[in-house]
Amino acid sequence: MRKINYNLAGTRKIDVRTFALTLTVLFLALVLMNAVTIFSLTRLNRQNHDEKKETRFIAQKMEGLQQKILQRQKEIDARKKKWNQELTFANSLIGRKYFSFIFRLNFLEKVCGGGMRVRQLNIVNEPAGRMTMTINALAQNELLGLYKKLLPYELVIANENQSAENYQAHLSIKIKDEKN
Amino acid sequence: MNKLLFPERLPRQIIYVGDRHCEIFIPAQKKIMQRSRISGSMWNESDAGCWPEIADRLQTVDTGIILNSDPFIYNFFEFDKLPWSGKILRELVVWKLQKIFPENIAAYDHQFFRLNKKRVFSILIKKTLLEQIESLFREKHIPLIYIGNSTLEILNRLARITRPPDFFVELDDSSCSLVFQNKGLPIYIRKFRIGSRLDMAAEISKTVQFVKNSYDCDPRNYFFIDHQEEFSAAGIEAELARENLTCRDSALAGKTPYIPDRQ
Repeated sequence: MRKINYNLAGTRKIDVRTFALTLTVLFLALVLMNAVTIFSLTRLNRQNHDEKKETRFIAQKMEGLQQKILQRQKEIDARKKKWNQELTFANSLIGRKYFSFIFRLNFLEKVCGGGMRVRQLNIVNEPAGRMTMTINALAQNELLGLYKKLLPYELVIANENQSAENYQAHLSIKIKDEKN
Repeated sequence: MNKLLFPERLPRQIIYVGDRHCEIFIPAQKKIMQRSRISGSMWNESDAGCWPEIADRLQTVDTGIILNSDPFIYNFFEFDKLPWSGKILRELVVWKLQKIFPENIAAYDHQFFRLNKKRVFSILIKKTLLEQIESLFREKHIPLIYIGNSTLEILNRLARITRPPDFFVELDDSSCSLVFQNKGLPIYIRKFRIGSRLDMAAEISKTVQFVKNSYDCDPRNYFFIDHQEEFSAAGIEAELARENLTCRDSALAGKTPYIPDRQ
């Protein structure tokens, strides 16, 4: 049971000694609580400081890594550029190989008949490069037959000359798809 | 909280006011250093009683007075739930008191104590009596700093005992108080006038039966606290033993549990 304080006296007095003791205990408790609070705050601050330090360290590490990544990216770009150049060069080599003048000469040999001669030939060694040539034919119908064969290849007849012995034509063609 | 922060000073001399005697105690260092008994009531309606003799023996130091149960009126009130607010609780207790108390409550000093979540212990004493006591001390220039009640002092003392009794019997010259406790809390108080010893034993036995039937408890052991110089409770104890009631007064033997916070 809780103590029942029953005092009906009109003039009561405070027990100064107990009051002082209570105050002292309260003061000490307050001091203790403050000390505990300060200790806890200090510990928290220290922890906070440590965490900040760690965060800063991690941030520095991250920054280093970022710089490393940037450096690697630059290296990659440089290599990529180099490889692209090499690839372009290789492709150009392949292209050159694909659109070979041998194929064109072979084509020209096939379309030209027996009574015809190629007097002069200029080949641009590029894909779909224009071939300029001077053709001598013994008969006009042979020349016309050649024209018919070359019509699908953007035939441009620059001039035609007739002499006593033969017919001469200066013409150019463009073979777009040499595979056909 | 106030009691903790501002503890009251205990008196350096205490007067116990009984029915037909008074006792002056001089406590020091938690012991009774001096004790003197004066026969006669402290005041009468016709004259000042033995007050002049008491006043002659008193020193001009902080004094306390402990009244026996006679002038007090006790009540226990039970509610479903007690409100937290002290003001509302007071209104509730006064309302309940007004329903059972026939006299004007304003003429009484009314104090009440929260016993648990449901029960309240209310104590009334006539304001005129308190004024009379204070005026007697004022006249003699003796500082009166404590006016207490012997039954409550005993209850407070028993609260400190590891195994408190189920009830205690407080005997004065002509009055007897029976205070029943359950789980350390007072549940019922009865005051009555003493006739013969046999009558007293019968009254105690009857009250025990009443408490047994009305409250959910079975009182078995009790303390005798008497204020008389030469009183033998042996006869009463023997009578009560037949009812399976055991007297255990060894814990307070030779002590004065009605003196505040001493011994």
